[in-house]
Parts: sequence; C-alpha cells; structure tokens
Amino acid sequence: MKNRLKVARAEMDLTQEELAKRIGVSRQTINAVESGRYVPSTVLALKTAQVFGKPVEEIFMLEETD
Amino acid sequence: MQRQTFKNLYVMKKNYLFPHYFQWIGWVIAIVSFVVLLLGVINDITIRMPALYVDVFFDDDNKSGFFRMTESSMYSIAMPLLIIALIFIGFSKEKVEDEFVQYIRSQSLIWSTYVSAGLFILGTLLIYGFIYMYIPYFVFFVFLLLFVIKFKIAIHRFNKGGEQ
Repeated sequence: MKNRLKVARAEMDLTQEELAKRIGVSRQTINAVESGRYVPSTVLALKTAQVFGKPVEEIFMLEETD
Repeated sequence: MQRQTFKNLYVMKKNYLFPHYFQWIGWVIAIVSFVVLLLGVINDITIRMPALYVDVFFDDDNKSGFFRMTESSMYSIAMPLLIIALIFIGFSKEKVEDEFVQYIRSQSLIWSTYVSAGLFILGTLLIYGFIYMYIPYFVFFVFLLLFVIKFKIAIHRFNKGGEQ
C-alpha cells in the first residue's frame, strides 16, 4: 500500500507529532506509516483521512502487488 | 448477550495487558528475585515449603506424598518471582500503546516462540540423562526472556527512529 501522508501533512502544515496527537497514536507510528514500514488498520486509516477532510483513497492507495 | 461479548473482544479492542506502571514493578521484582537467587546459591540456603506433592527418589523414611512440608532451595521462591517480573515487563502497556506497538509485540512473540521451540528441539535431540529434566524450565524461562529482550530492542529502535 502506498500513501501520500507526508504530502498531505505538508499541505496542511501539520507535524508528525500534531497528527499523531489528533488520532491517538505515537509520532513514531506516523513515521512508520509514512515510510511504508507499517500498514495501518482500517480505523487508523479512516481517522487519518478524517483529519485531512478527504476520502481515505486520497491518502492511502493500493499498489499492484497488494 | 453473545453479540456484546463479541463486541468487547474485537471492536472495543480488549487486551490482556497490564497498566504501564507494572513495568517498573516488574523491574523491582526482577532485581529482588535475582538477588534472592544469588544469595540462596552462594550461602546454600534451604527453606521449608508447603508442598502439594513430594516425590522422593529413594523414599526410605516415607517423605513422598500429598500435602507435606519439604526442604527446598531459594530457587522455589526466586523462579516464580522472576517469571512474574518478566511477564510484568513484557506485558504491560507502553507509554503510548497504539496498534503499531501491538504489532511489534506480536512479532516479538512469534520470533521468541520459534527460537524457544528450536532450543527445545535441539535440547531433546542433543541432551540426555537427568539433566534433560531441566530443559522445559529452561526453555520457558528463555522464551519469556528472549521475548522481552526482542520487544524492548524493537521498541527502543522504534522510539528513536524518524524525523523531527
């Protein structure tokens, strides 16, 4: 799964820390998701998308290998 | 009713972890039990323990049987404490216990299960005689210990990682 979390964060001028606080995870988890080391649960993906006010597909998208 | 139980288990994310501060209780118990074990071994201390069942090999004076008092080493006190300590250290919540931490914990458990299983197999194939009786205790202890070490190293790396 790919994500454009970093770009979305930059657009809204949010730090990893601020985003983490708003969805109730640690900053390192956001970092792991951004770097593609961790695929978040549906709940976490939905919460993230909610922060950016976008549908989840605009933040997270499937890859061909998925 | 059935539905509620299901909800509690899977939707509400019930977990079996201890509160965060149990980690520190765990470390204290670990140090205490280690010292107890060490002092017990050095001074060759024996203690009297109430036993559910005692099995004496050459039972000349009828010491075998249910509900007896028996002599034992400090190991009988220290080992249970050490296991409780490791459980508290490995299975209490991290400061921020989110789904990625739980993922790391489960990965560490899987890894530790494989390594301990390997040790058990090797021990069974390579070690014979009376000493083999110690292998199960040893393997269970190593299982918990390796899990705690693996998990803590992974969490440490995870906490250090990343920008900002």
